[in-house]
Amino acid sequence: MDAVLSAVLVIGFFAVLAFVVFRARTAREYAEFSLARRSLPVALIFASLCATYIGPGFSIGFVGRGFQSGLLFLYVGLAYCAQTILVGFFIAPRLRSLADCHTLGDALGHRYNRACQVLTGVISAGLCAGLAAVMANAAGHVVEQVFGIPLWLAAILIVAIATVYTSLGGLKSSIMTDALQFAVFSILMPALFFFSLVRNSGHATVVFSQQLTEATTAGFASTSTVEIVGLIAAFLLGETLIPPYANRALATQSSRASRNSFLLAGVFSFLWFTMMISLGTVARTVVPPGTKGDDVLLSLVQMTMPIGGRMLLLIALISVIMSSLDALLNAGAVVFTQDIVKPLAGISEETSLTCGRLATVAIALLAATAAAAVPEIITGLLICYTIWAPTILPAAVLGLWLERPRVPACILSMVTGATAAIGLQIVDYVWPHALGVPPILPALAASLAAYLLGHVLAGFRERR
Amino acid sequence: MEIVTLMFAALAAVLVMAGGVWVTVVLIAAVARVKPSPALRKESQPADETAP
Repeated sequence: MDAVLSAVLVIGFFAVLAFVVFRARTAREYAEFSLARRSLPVALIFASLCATYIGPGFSIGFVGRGFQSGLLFLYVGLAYCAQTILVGFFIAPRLRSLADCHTLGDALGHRYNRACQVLTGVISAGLCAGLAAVMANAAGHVVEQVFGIPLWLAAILIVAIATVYTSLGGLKSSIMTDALQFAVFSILMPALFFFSLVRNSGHATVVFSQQLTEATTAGFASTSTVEIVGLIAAFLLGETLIPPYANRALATQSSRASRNSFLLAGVFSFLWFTMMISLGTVARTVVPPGTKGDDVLLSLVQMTMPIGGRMLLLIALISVIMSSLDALLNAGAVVFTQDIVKPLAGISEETSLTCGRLATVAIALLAATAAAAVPEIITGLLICYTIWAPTILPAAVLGLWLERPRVPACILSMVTGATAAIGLQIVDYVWPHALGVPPILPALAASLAAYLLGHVLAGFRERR
Repeated sequence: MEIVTLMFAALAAVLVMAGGVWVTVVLIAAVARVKPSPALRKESQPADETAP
């Protein structure tokens, strides 16, 4: 009976997913594949943004952090809310207002030149492949724990499903399935919270507050100020304008819609973090104290929920991961086509569509292959963030805001940022804590200094 | 104070759920191919008002 119920729930979810993919239709033009013709409403773009940033780190990871350190990670998470809201106010509308842009690289190509676009494309495609490998690894872990199949096989299975609908339907398919997955997990996760609260905390109010205070005190006692600063920096800057977010900002119907989507997503992130931390706090009354952070959510579900509920939560977790994965696959493919192949080879729109589909498959293959080599979810994410922010952010933000941005400044900043980020990460890996600060901060400072230097020197040259 | 903490967590969970319900309704409308309102269609024009 349990097996039948589980099978019905899993098959039902994938049937609904297939129906949404079918209704989203196969992309027939490149503009449909890359920007969904800019026809989707704010609610779907907002849901897709949330579904993209809520990956395994912000769900499984945050419940574990709430379990171990109470409110500490809610305070750190506020940096992420602030980042999304600031992007909504100052960056997304400006990005959207640039005509005929498909990607962030495209926008930088407009503001600087083609070389900057290709450079951004190479970095963006690499980042998407790296993050997709982390998502594939996380999906593999969840399916492995529940069904007992090997990690590599589980990762291939999930990546294959996401690849099929992303390569056929492009961004529209990705956004519509994201919205479905968002609806699934944002209804099921609060249901799990209320269920656990009522079932496990006899004197819910007192027990919840006691556990929260204990965990928060322990969290602050075990985390140094430098670590907290590093986490805040990573949350504030690490994911800013990564390709899937930039694509969604560009795919909105107008600048206002772009701003509103990001503002709503920023507010939602605060609500989501609060709920995940609360779930971790509730888990303290059920899950044994020594449990590993990433195992807390699954342990809580297994210890409290009946089989039907367990399957629903598995579906919610798969939704959390697949929505991030498909967004990365699509963004990587569009970036590869738009920022690397098109400027270098000058291909037609029809060939671009084929190129986008093939690139989706190629990035998926790369991600599935690299999934087994990912060290840890959070470590993998932090490596990607530390490279992205110093390499791209100064050139992108200043490029969008300065009246006459200069090409040498962009190239100098990107090269310096990438070199510093990779070099400092190696130093930090070989000699832990030798730097005294998280690598992202000095790398970002170096990149910003390089940009300003390039801008001033190019200005002198222009005046001569 | 204790009740405020719990109420705040519960309120966040309710709002997250409300977000899920809102998106479900919009998604059903999109899947059913409900035509957008004239205001929405006007808004979807590619020309934009705030060039940097």
